[in-house]
Amino acid sequence: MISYFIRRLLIMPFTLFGMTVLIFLMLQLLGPEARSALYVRDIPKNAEVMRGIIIKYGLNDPIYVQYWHWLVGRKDADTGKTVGGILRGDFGFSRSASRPVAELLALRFPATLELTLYAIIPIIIIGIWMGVTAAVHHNQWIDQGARVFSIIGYSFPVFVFGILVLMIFYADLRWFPAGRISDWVAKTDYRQYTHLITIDALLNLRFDIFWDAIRHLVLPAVTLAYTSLAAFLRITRSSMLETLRQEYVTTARAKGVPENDVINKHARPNALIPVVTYSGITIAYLLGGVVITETIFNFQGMGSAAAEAAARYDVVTVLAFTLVTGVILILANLVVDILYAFLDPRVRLG
Amino acid sequence: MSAANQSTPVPPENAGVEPDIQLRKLNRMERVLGPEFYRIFRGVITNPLSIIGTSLILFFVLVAIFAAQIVPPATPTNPYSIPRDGFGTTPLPPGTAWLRQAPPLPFWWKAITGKDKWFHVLGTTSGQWDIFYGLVWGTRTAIIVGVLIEGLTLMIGIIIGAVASFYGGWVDEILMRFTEIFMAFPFIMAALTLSAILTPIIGRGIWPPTIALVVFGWMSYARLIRGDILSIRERDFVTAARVVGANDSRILFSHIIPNAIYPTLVLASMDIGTIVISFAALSFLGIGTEVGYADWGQLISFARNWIPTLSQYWWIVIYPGIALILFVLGWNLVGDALRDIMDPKLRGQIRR
Repeated sequence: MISYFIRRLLIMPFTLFGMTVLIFLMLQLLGPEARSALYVRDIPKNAEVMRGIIIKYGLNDPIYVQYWHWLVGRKDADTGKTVGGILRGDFGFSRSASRPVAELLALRFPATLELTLYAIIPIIIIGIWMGVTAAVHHNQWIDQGARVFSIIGYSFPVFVFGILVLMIFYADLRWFPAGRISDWVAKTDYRQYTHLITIDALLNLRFDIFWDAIRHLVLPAVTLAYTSLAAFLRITRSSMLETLRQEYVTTARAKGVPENDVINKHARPNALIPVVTYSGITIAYLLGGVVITETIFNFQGMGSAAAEAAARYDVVTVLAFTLVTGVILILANLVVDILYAFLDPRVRLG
Repeated sequence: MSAANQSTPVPPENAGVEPDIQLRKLNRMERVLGPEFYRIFRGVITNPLSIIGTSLILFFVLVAIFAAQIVPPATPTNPYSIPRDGFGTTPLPPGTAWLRQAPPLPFWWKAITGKDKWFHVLGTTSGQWDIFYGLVWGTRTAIIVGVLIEGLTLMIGIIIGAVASFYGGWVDEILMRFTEIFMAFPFIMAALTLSAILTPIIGRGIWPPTIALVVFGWMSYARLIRGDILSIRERDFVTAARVVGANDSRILFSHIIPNAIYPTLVLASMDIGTIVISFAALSFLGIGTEVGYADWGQLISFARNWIPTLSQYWWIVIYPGIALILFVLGWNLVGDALRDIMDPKLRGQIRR
């Protein structure tokens, strides 16, 4: 298992390095004028000033010099302070949101984290439960139902689903509000520890805020979750079906192990190993899905910020968001792989 | 299919001896298509769900082919631009008379509707773009975009996967790390970013999202074909080709790829539904085609500004939504059946 970890950890810096190169190359597709957003807030009005900025920040330097400065920042000749440098957490300025990208990220990240958490927990619990149940009752009505649900689930585009859900539950029935918080919560003063509203509300013992946050989360979380739920259910089902056909399961049944134990103790733990791997893909899918979901529900998170910036061709911002999301994803996958190594005896003992 | 897959005659050493197993007679279809393809074909046409799927796909393909007959283009030079009936913001309900910029009447119009003037069959969106026109020509956009993206994606995926697996060693290692880098980003997010970069450079249209979806879409095919080639590479006919002195590219392109490409090709063709969803999603977010282009995602995006009163103007989301869902459902139903047929673990367990 140790060699597995070493290999896994050795690959990671290469992937991270490759990701920064890829992002940087995409950045280079822009002209130096657009790239100046890495260092200055506003687009200079006259061409003379722009040329000065391009020279000052070396936006026409050889590409590897620029890459280095993009990574670690560069000294501002006038003020003597270091500017830029993604490793310093400085991603430049978001001209569409008129604030530094890092600030925008910090502002929007908690909302996306909260939404994703509230989507992935039901996906895992319901997905595993439905998948295992469907496999155990193979070809019975519950299995057919799960199949139909999963086919419809991944044929239903998120944005159509989201709009219909909004139309019914927000506009017509008025059961749930849109956005992330109500106005009165925004005006309420309470201590924010994590910036995840539901958790902060509980820590402050403000159940009214908690309830409000939950009501805002229901529709976007359901919209974000259902496609992934369909896929998750499918993977669990087929993995469980395959495990139930293994000889050791037959052996367990033959020696008289009660059917419940066969399913819960013998088959399910092994069937869930590939499901763990798949949850990495689910996280990737959710982090992409927030772009659409948050936009539809006007949920102020990273996804809607990226979509807004993209629609206004504010590329410096979108690229920063993509890079950060990619890094989050890499870390999430590392956790998933470590979990997998502990769960799978073939790796653990190998 | 190749000669190797044709029906095998009784081997010569068994000549004169009654064979234990009576070889099954191949029927004509099987001989024409080859047993492997025939098995898949039969699976698809006998599974009720995939029959529904195939019919849906066929329907959309026909609409796309005969788009100009169903709705003659309003401006023959640019049929994909949806004609506008004025500039009013309030969507008009289905059945409203079409006053401005109506396209020529199609041949079926009088016989079916009994009217001699166009009306908005499925209503208009805000901005008075006709939904029916948009859906019919949007079908063509969807199929063109789907096939185009899928074709390019496959090509890149196959080349990278084939080179990686064929040469192995450090080439394989580097190409696979390269693949991982592209997979490190969430698909939609990366595609959105690249489209936002490309749009100012090459202008609005189907190309920016197409290129973006291709650049971030080839990785799974590269991995799939890599795995298949790795197993085929060791087979005897490859060694034989090498012995005869065939060079690398000949072995790769005329011996290995044709034998390994099959599962990738079939499964990939079924991803068109997902690709069309992604393309529509980018359009929905306002990236890609210019406003008024016949494209389902864009039609749906018009509904975004009408959510509080959407149930009054339901047609602006329901009709384009149904078109997109049925299209994707068709591909997924067939794809689902194909996956079952082609999965070797499930082989023989499918109810015939």
